[in-house]
Amino acid sequence: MLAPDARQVATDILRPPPGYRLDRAVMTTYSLDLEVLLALPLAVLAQSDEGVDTLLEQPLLLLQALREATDRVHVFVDETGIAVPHLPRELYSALEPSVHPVRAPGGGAFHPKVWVARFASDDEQPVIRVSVASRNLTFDRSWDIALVSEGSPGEAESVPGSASLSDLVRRLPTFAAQTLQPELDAELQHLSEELGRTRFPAPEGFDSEVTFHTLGLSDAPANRAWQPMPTARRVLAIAPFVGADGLRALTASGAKERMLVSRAETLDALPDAVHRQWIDQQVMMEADLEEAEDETAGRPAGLHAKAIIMEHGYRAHWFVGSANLTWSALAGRNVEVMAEVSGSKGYSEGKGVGIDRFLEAGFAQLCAPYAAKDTEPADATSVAAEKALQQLRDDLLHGDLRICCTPGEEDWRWELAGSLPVAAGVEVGYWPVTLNREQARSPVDGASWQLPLERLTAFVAFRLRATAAEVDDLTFVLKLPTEGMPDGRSDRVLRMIINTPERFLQFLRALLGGLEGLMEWAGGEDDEDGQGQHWGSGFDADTLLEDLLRAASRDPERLEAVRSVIEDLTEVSGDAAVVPEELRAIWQAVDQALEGRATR
Amino acid sequence: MPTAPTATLTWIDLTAADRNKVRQVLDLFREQGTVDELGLGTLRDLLSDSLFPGTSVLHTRMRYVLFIPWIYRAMERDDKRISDVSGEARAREIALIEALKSGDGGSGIIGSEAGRGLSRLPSSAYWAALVRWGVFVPRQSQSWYHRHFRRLARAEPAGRADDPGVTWTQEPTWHPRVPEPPTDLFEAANFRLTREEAAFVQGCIQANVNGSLLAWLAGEGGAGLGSSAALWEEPQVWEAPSTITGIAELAQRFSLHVEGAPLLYNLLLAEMRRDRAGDHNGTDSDRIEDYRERLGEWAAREAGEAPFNPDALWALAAQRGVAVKPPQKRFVEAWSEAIARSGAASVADSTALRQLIEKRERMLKGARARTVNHSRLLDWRGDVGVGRMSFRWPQVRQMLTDLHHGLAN
Repeated sequence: MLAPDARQVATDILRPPPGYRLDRAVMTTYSLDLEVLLALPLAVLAQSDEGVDTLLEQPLLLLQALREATDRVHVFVDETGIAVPHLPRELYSALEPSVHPVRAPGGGAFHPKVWVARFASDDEQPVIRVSVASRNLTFDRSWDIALVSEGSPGEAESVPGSASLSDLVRRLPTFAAQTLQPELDAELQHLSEELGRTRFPAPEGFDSEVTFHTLGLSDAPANRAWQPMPTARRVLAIAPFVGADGLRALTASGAKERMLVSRAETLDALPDAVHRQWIDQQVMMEADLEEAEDETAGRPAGLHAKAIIMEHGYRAHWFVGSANLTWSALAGRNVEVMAEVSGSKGYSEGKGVGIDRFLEAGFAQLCAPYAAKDTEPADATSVAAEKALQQLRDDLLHGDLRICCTPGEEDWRWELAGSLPVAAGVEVGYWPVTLNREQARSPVDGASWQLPLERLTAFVAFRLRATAAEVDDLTFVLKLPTEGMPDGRSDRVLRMIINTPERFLQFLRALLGGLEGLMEWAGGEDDEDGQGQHWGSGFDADTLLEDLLRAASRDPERLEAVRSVIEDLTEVSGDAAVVPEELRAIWQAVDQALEGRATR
Repeated sequence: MPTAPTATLTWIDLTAADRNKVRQVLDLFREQGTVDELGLGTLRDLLSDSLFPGTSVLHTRMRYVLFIPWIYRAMERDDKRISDVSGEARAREIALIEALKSGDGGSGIIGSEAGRGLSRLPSSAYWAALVRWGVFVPRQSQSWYHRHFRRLARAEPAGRADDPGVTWTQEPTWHPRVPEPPTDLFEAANFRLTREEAAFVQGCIQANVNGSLLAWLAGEGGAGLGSSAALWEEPQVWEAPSTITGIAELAQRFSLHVEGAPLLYNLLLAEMRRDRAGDHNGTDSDRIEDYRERLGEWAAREAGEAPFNPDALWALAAQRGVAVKPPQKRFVEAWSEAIARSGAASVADSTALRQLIEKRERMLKGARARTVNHSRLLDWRGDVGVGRMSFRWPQVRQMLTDLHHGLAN
């Protein structure tokens, strides 16, 4: 029963079952690291680890994968939740079509972490796989739980347990900060309809189906908290964030035995009344976690899972998902999704899904009793400064900011339009994510950038800094509405990546199977002695001719890819410099030889 | 029938491996910077290699020169149980990282941050030293060794070379007098050389790169090295024989002479970006001021020296069999002539020198040159390739300090 070593890799959730392909994935998250979003295509289009390695070795394939993934994968993220990437990349702007900032109707956070993947097959019913988790789309190292289940849409009947999830997907377009493309809207409606007809089986040990609970879809928040169960005898609550109001939703069940697992800082901040009610308080031990020997190196550090287990009679009900035990989460200010499954709680050492079975399976060893310690009250100036930063962020979100792009002679003019709110004691810096953060500017006299087309982006990084107190800067990325953004930008971005003879050769090597050299090329750059990195060197006509001829005789299809890249580059850039002249001559010779053979 | 319904309730990870893969992908697309913006690297390396043969900027501590043979010698003994030589070697080097963290070895652990994701292993950083100093006897590349590992491992006799009566059927892979490793090497390793180890390394250096500053400092002359930031600030250096100090002088003079070039290059970029991008809060304007000031300071120092004559450098290159490409030679000569003619103080505003720098960058990088490629100019971080050449002195000083500590045991 959910032993500490029962783990799975998040990206595997998007891998299609045998015989299927990923048709569409809709993911929701509170926070988003754009790097994670770049990782997904690897998982989506590669069926296995070897597949991922193949992609890595063939960047052109990878670019294609990215392009396809932006069509198929859609991420709905809280509008404040996109993190500033640590390095600027043109590639990020290629992700724009996949990222949809949303706003919780109840005024709180858009917090659910649901993945809905639809897999299609030529001759079978589609399969819909749903994951309800506590995991955001970030690389945070934390303990997170996911319930994953898959099923196929049934005939016309609607499935009560799936109604609430269907509702969430149907209403996503109404939460979006910017209007979605009509095609995407239609696809969401279709997916929602299919979800409503799909039964999701529970994991082994449980005997129910999965029932989804979606909170906070209304813009009139309830004045009472969601109660997972009206009556229960025993409850185990796990959540990193806990408030007295939130806990009351559980004590209201009348449960006599109560165990709470959270973070020490959270427990420190709870009022005494709660400590008296919840005698059994535990925290997760971090020091005892061993380094893994396998690829999942970098063990989780820190509790992030949210789970409520309630026992009533012979049965145990599990609720897992995004909701913390706070008023915002449970009373409908936030949007949250929890999945419920139930089963017999079982007897000692036997089967069952009760609290004791879970603790025995290893969870108890991860926990240690909480020892109360006195906390220093937060310094009032810092609290006020942090508040000011957050207030300004909210003002930015609710303003009329947008991005205007206007073509110039060579470059494009990229500027922020609309009114930028100001606040006393806060400095604002912003920059397009395709540039590095040193180029942040403050909004005095309407700063604008001259950018090449491939750097234009709807993602704007913001940095809010308090001048009066020592608090961390508040940084985030907003995806803003755009005006004058040229078409075909993402194609251009991808093609721009092969913008030098060196990169061209690098791709060519990859295509022709010179894979070892490629990884060395990628790995050895921080080297002061890296003489091999010199532009213009590293081109060995003889070797390349040999490779081309070998490919021509053994595997002529590979040359098709070379042909299309060379044609593409010559056409687009008109810049012979990208395809070195020597190489062009070699290529023409090989090409003519091939044509001769084909017509013979 | 669709596939059997499945469901799981588990802990969930986005693994470090996922992250590393994304990073690898992103690196493929990275705007590659280079420390050597103006193509002076080969000349710098010519001087570094003359002074300190076998060393590299990736070097940290001297004891790696023994760690690597120890790892491989143990593998040669385990040869039959090893299916993937380079994988096994990698695993053992990674294990050593942990052992070094457990030992109180101090700084200089290669891969202490990257851990198992380390892309450049200590063995690859030190291989040239192992070859140059005669520790790896066949004097071949690491990949050659891996390819011929089995044949070589089996040829190794069980005894030590200094055992009486052992005759070699074949040349050994590792120097027969490499000292024995400590028994707890993979539990708690450190960088402290024993006396025997230090004497061995000293012997290898003196036998194989005799006549270099490295060999001189590895001997008596290098005991009690201070913490001087540059090699020319170290008094012991100047006590070496004149053939050696001649090269040290050349390195000192050349590095000062060309220090102005990257400063001018960065000044140029700051001006271009300010003019082009309309930078309203003036960070590039601040940089322009900063670079003018630094160029002024440099010019004052340069003007205090006799004019630099590159011929000594070309002579050294010829003597060491290093081919200097004509454009590189022309660039250095043009720089030297202009300064000799108009004085170092005129550099910041010299149209001719600005053109020289632009031309040089275009030649090296073509369409990627920052002076012509706006996208690359946008990525400029405000200082590239700035600073005086150090000729690997910080690395060499640390390794020599390790060596002499060992000898003093």
